[in-house]
Amino acid sequence: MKTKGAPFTAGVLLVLVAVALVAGGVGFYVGSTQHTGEVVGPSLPDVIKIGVLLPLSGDLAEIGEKMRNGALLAAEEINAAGGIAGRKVQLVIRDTQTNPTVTVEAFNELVNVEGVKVVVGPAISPAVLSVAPIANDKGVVVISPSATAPTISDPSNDPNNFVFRVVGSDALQGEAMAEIANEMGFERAVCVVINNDYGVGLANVISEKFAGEVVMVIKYDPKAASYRAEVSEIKSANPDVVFFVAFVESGSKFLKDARVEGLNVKWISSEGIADVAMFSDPEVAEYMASVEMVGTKPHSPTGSPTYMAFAEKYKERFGEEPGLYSDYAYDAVKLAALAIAFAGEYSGEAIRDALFVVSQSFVGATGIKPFNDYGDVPQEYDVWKVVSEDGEYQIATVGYWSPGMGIRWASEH
Amino acid sequence: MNILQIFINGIVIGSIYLLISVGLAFTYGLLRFPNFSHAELITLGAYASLIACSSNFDFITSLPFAFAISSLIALLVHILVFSFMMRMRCGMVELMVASIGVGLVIRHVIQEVWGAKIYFLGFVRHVYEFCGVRIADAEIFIMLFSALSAIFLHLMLTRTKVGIALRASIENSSLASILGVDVERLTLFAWLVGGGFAGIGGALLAVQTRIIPQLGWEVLLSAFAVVILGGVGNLHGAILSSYLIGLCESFGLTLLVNLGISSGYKSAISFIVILLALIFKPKGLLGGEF
Repeated sequence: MKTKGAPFTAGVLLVLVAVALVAGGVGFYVGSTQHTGEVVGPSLPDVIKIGVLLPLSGDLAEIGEKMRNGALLAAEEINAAGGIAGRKVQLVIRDTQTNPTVTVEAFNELVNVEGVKVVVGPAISPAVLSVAPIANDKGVVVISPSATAPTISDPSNDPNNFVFRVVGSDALQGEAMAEIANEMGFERAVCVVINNDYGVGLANVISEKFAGEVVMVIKYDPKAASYRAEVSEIKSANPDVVFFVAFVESGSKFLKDARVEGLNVKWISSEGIADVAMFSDPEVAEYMASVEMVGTKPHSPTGSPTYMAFAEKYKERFGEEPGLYSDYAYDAVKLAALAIAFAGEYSGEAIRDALFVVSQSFVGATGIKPFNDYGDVPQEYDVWKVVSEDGEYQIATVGYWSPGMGIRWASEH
Repeated sequence: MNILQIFINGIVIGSIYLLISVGLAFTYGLLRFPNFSHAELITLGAYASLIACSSNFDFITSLPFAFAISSLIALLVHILVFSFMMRMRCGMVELMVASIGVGLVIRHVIQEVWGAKIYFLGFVRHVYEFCGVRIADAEIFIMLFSALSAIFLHLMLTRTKVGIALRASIENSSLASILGVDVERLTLFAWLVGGGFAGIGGALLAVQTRIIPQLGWEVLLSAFAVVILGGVGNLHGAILSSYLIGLCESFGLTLLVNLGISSGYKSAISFIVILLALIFKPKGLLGGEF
């Protein structure tokens, strides 16, 4: 080794570069050989493609799978009813690995190779923000079922209005979360958020709307092997409430460490972890129940006929309860198909224009979706709480928040 | 700020780094290429432990199983890919790229078999508290196990024939082979031990966190930091630098948070340590001594 000192150091540097590249999420993609790149004419093609970009692996794998099921169910229903003007709808599904870089590659492939003009997804805000410029450039409609970052509404991110979402902006959810804390009379808060547009966006809104003092904001790295140091710091900041914005996988890691560190505070979370997937680790379930974690999630009108019809069909088809955002993905596909039918042609501009029209009278499983000029919809939120009954853990809806009306509690909480 | 707690947290994470970087240090030293598929040996150990635990073995009994599976796959990969490529006189870059490929294949096979679902070993760790420090039973086990492994490795490297031959081959493999060391057999031994420790490290990491196909990948950067800081191929250096990197991450993060900098930069701490090591100690902490 002594004789080879210099070239070896160069080798080490090469390794660093490679680690950086690969750790940054350079994916490898095996291209599809299917060729359908015909020129799109003024009428509809024989098979109508709707791209689907969802996280089927990575941080949101558990949730992404159930969202995909929602999308599949919608497409199957449309096809069973005769498709769009007799043409079958085909979902072209790609895994985004919960990674914006991979999402951009998959989006380009959908657009350039598959010739897709409307995409349902991506699920997460940073991924939506990464594809937004390409969507605007290429004239492809993007309908996200679940991306909530307030910045998505910013016209500088979406100048030609190709980006839509069927869920409300976190400008609202952040207000709802802060209001829960305000109502409970908390004064010292720590924000623990995942270090991406979703987490940082919510942290900003919460800091603005929380009546007390936000003493610390921790933007955690979802890939870290341990969060003991973070939790230790939260503990020494001595807050009475922690606002938690996380995804299932990294969120459960964080809560495991919070349990060991014995962090006994009130947790108010967003919808990112409001899924039974959190309970597959008994430690996480135990901790969430013992601190009586509460949170917000976009309202699903579970008592409405449209939701009940969806939930029943979903259970019949997949043998399980719909997960977080399954219903929103279902509505996004339905809206896309409706817009294509209304446009009468398979072009991004026509579908975009049609979406603004058809959405005004659309009632989906998740309620009404009248898109405003920014492609945003109004949103109400359920307040959830982790409860344990006979060793069974549940995410129970205990309240309801709507803009201007504040929180209404379902019963004693 | 509880200094003792931060220190213990750093030692726990350093203990895991120690176990997962042994194999990387061995193969880096002996074969002179960074083995990226090492990440998957870590992941495989976690899944092996999952299989054992779901067949009603307790966690401790699952560790030999994790060791066996990871070392077996390590040997297979060496025989089928790296040994073959080295006979074709492939250089460091080719071997490195091949190892990325091998890693991708293993990771995607894992994903095909188990899906992208998150698995948990499902233990509820007991938490002890003394002198204001909170520590889980699993963490005590991790610290003890890794300290014992370090002693075992030290004794093996200094007291046994195979260990001394291993150090000699890392120093200069052609000279060692002239002196009668069977370097090829020694290489197989290094894969076996290194792969096995990676497997156990993966299983222990899984108890602390959860199991996903990217489990090993997430800690690979830190493992590389350990190996480079310790001095490439220097086992004693790697042992020392495991704990150092663990402590750097723990104290570094506390510093980041207190300075009001996003703790999302946590992963940069390993990078900064590698950079500083390359600038001031390019041959590693122990300066090329074995």
